[in-house]
Order: sequence, then C-alpha cells, then structure tokens
Amino acid sequence: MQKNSRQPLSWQMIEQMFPWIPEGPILDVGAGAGHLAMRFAQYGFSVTALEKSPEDVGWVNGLSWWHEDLRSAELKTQQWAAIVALNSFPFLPQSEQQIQLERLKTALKPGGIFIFSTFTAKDPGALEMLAEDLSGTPSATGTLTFKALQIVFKDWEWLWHFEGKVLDNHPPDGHHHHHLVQIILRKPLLATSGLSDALLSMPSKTEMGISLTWKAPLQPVFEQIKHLSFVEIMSDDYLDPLWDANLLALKAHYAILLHGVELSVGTPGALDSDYLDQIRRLAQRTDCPWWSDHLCYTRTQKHHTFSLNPLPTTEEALNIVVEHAKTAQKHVGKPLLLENAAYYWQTQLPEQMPDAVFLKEIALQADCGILLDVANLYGNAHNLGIDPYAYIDALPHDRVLQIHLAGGQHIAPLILDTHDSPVEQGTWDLFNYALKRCDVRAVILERDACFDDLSDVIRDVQTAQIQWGLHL
Amino acid sequence: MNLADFQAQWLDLLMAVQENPPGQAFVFDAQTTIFGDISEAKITAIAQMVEQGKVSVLCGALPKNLTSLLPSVMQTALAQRYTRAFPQSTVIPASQGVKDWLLWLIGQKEVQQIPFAQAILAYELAVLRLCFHQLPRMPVLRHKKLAPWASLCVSTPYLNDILNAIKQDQPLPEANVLEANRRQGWLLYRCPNNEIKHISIHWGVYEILELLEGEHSWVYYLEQVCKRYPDLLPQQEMLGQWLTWLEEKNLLSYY
Repeated sequence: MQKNSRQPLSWQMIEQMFPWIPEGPILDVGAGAGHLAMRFAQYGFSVTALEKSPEDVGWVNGLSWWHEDLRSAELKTQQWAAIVALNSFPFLPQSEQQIQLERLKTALKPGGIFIFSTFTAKDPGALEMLAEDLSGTPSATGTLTFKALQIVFKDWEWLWHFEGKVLDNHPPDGHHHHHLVQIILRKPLLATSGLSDALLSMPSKTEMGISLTWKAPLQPVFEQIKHLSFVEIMSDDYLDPLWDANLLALKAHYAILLHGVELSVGTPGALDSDYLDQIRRLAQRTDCPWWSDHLCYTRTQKHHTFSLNPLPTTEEALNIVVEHAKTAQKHVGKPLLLENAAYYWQTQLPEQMPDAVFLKEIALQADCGILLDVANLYGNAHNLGIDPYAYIDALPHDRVLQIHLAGGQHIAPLILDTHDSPVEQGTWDLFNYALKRCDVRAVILERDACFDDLSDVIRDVQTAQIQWGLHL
Repeated sequence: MNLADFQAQWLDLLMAVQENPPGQAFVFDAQTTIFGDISEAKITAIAQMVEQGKVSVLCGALPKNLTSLLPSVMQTALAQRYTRAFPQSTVIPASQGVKDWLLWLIGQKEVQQIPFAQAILAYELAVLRLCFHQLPRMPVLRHKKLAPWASLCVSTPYLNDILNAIKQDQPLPEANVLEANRRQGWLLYRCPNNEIKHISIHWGVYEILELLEGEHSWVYYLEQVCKRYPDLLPQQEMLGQWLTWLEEKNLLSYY
C-alpha cells in the first residue's frame, strides 16, 4: 500500500488516473451541480451524474444526468469503469454506509477505479444531522474511518490515500475545515484469465470477421469496404499513455485487437512487468477479447534485436514458454494468443519436437490460444521444407481463434515476411484449409508498407470476405 | 546447452556477422554447427535483415524535427553505427531507449556539423521528459516542484524560428556564429490536450526551477538564489511574479 499522502485529493490527482480507467462509463455519485462530472466528460469519458436533488445542473457532451437517490438507484453488476463519490456519503445514515459501499464495489468493473472521499468522526459536520433516511427523516451524519475502509476494500489495490484536515470555502459557511478520509483504489481483475474460461464470452465469428492492421494510409480501404467493424493495432506503438487520445478516437469507431512483438515469451528469466502493466492498461482500455504476440524471443540479457528469433522446440523451451504465457495471461487478465512466427532457419537438435506439436503443447498446457499466420506458415514451408497442411492438422483447432494474412517478398532462396505485397495463392489455399477446420473468430490482413496503390489490399480483403462467407 | 546459452550464442553470431565490414568474408566457425545446417550465405542474409529491421526502428523513433534536419542516408548510417555499438539498445518503449539514442547522436561529428541540430536535440530530449498526467503513485512532497509535464532545456535563442521553419518546410534562420552559440533557457510543457508549448525563461527562474525538489518552497529558493547572485536582487519581485504565474498555470505540482 502507498504511504499516506500529505496532500488531499485534487483534480490533478484524478487526472493522473485517466490512463488507468478501463473502457466504459463513469459514475459520479452525489454529483451536485456536476462540476466534476463535466470535467470527466470534457476529457472524452462517458459520465453519468447521479444526484437526488440537482440544482443548476451543468451539461456537456458525454454527460448524462440520473436524478435518483443512490439507495434506490438500480446499479448493474460490473457496469462502471470508474466510480467517483466525493463527500456524498455523509448524507447517508451510519447504518447504510457499508451497504452502499458494498453496492458500489459490486457495480464497478474488474480493474475499475474507485475514487472516494468522506467525513471522519472528527469532521465538524459529524456533530450535525446531515443524513436522511429514504423517507426524508433526518439522522446523524454518516462518517467512516480509514480502518473501516481498509476492511471493506481489503483485497483491492490501494493506489493512494489521505486522512486529515482539508480547507473548504463555499456558501453559506465561507472558509472552514473538514476532516476527511480519501482513497483511490483499483478493483482486482477476475482471477480466471485462461482461454478455456473466456471462450464462452468471446465474440463469435459473425460478430467479428475480416479486417486489417490499423495504419493511417489504409484509411481509404476502410471507407470503401463494408463489414470492417474492428481493427488490430500494434500494441507496442501505444504503450505510452500519450497515445491514448488516438486510441480512444480509434475505439470510438472500431473494436480493437492488440498485437505485439516485444513480449519475448521465449527468453529465460522474468518477463518485463512494466511492459505487461502497459499491455494490461491497453487491454482494459480497449476491452479487447484477447491479445496476441509471437512464439519466439526478441532479446537476451545482452542483445535487443527487435527481430523474431526462432526457438529450439525443446522440452526446456516448452516449459519456459508455458510458464511465461501463464504469467502474462494472469498479469494482463485476458487470454493470450501466440502466433507462429516467420522463420528463415531452424535448429536441428536431436531432442526437438515438431513445430506444430510444440505450439499445440504450449496452447494446451498454458491454456492460451493460437494466432495462425498462414502467410508465415506458407513462408516457413518454403524456407524450411515443412508440410503446412500437416502443421494445421496437428493444431488444437478450437484454440485457433485468429488468422493473419499477408504477402511477402521472394529473395532467393527465402520468402521474407515483409507485409508489403498481395497475398499469394499458396497462402490463400492454407487460409481455406484452416478456415474449414478451426474455430476462427477474426481474420486480419497485415499491410505495413507499399501504400501507393491500395487496389490489391482491397482485393485481398474482399477475397477473404468471400471465403469467410460474407455476401458482398 | 541450455536455452539461455543457445540464445546468447545465436545473437552473438548474428551481431558478429553484422559487425563484419562490407566486402570482408565472415569466418564461419565450428560453433555454428549447433544451429543446424544453416549456411553462411543464409546467416548473412538473416543478419542483414535483422540489422535493417533495427535500423528502421531506430530511424522511425527519431523525432520529426530531427528527421527534417538529418539527411535520410545519414540517419541510416548513424542508426547502423549505433546498433552495432550498443546491441542491447532498444527504443521500445520510447521513454527508455530514445533518450540514449538522442544522447549518442549529440556526440557524433556529422551531427555536430549540421546547423541547429544540437539545438533541436536539446529540445527533443526535453520533450522526452514530459510526462502525461498519469502514474497512480503519489509521492509525498511538502512543497511544489516542476510538474512532471514540464521540463527545462537550454537551447539557442532561435528555437522558435527553427521549429517554425521546420514546420513550414522553410530554410533555417540565418545567424552569425556568435549569435548561434548563445544559449537560452526554455521551459517546455505539455498541455492537457497533449500540445507541447515552450517559453523562454529568465536564467534566474531557470536556476530556481532546477533547485525545486519538493522539500522547500520556491519562495525559499528565490531568496537563496538572490542572495547568491546579488545582481538579481532588483529583479526579485519580477522573478516571484514569474513563479506565481507558473504555479497558476499548473506547471508546479506536488508530484
């Protein structure tokens, strides 16, 4: 738990929490004239101001009013991404404090942010009859102690707290002091994060379909083709919250899938927890059904290559990847899909297992999913001489949730995974083969370069849509 | 051989191939046999591809203001030299690695010869320090100091003109050597809408902002700085107004 702050809650502190608020609406309990709710709305959040007796209410885009008493308001389970209740609890009788706190706890999403301030028994107002029961009968002001809040929220992540005197200034009292307890907490994520538990709530094939990796030069493709309801973004480009404005703008139009390259799931030793923190933040902010990275390693203690290096398919590597995949899924709170990377060479150690068996065992033992890149598979078949159809046959088909399509370059003797040309016929054949066997929910066409003429990109998306079964 | 040793050897081998001067054959020794039947031609092709990828990532991480000044051939050559010198370097996430990359660029002879490149590098390094309003951790400070979304830099007095010229794709401003070598303190800050602004500040304000650490107020440091530099005494009130203005603009904070 963080040390007690010497400074009371300020707008700047609340602002600092913005990147950590997951996708979803915000509830301002006892919103008064809505000053705070309006500031959230001005930042682009969808805010509901809950206020029994609103006076001179303000209004801005994104803010909606709910004229109701907290006690009679129907709060749905896990509905709100953040709940803010600043000094509204003193108006609830003491007997109702814990009940209403429990209701707010339930109404917050896992990973959601709770910002709360209320009077302690040392507050001058504690001697008055500020509270009312539902029938309007006055009763003693409700107060809470820091210890009581610690008990109610004992399993939550305590980000900040303050207890002490705070100067206030408003009519009719003018300058006066309050004695407050203030907290900022994060609700724990759901413990179950493996694929098996999440499969039932995954979007179906008909909810997703075919789309593209998000690149600004591809915008005309989105304007020309129907049924593109989601995009995949390179999560490593959005790790810094500075990019949140772009992310939220994108999220306003499309559902988002996260795809990264820097997990380095095959590097022995601990995963980068700062990196996983940011992926968790992105996963919550985008509310993506899963996130993906590559079955490879990109770094060692000494080198950072940014390239996807092949893992020897040994028992040791299997164990390391399984443990890392489990850790990563638990940390991020969403299922991980591992992608078969493009390889240009392969180790030939006697104790190695076949590639597909290696990926299958990882998926089953770590309870994660598979992102099948059929272009990589096509390239690997050419570069390494493997049988791509046998590879697909060997995979656990119910775990192949996503497919990548792309076109590469032929630089003899290799096919390179360059994402800059039309999809080849051999890749289409594998795509068809995989579609018939696997429980695929989403297909992404990757295009990272050569944007001058987008006609081949449009053609490839339409071909994929037809093969998927969409009537254009 | 365990996995860690295997990976280290493979990446050592890749880096060795990359470091091999052009036109000079790489000596493909016996240790490579652990990597199967990979040929020298293939490993060279892979090494080149990996290096090109890293060079592309490094060039892509250069701020726009800088790419406007440095010819693309020079960018590529510098990135190649950097990646060979620092094989563990990374620019993802940007806050960790781009700083090192820019600091290294400052010391490179060809960059030093480009007019105003040093000024832009100083500016971009200050931009890198600007935080978004985040971090759910509240350090305990007694007094305000420079906010995490503000930072200081020393650059040329021509910074405005240079940035405008780059933005509008116009020729860089002309300045005589003496003028160009002069230095000016700047305060950069990120607005809530993410826009980055910069203002030139009095050197006394610069000094005070550098001293603020959260234990003492700016009033305390204003007095100390004026005691240390008696020339500033007549300007003490004006400096105080500056600091009050910065406080009002939310550029001083408790975290």
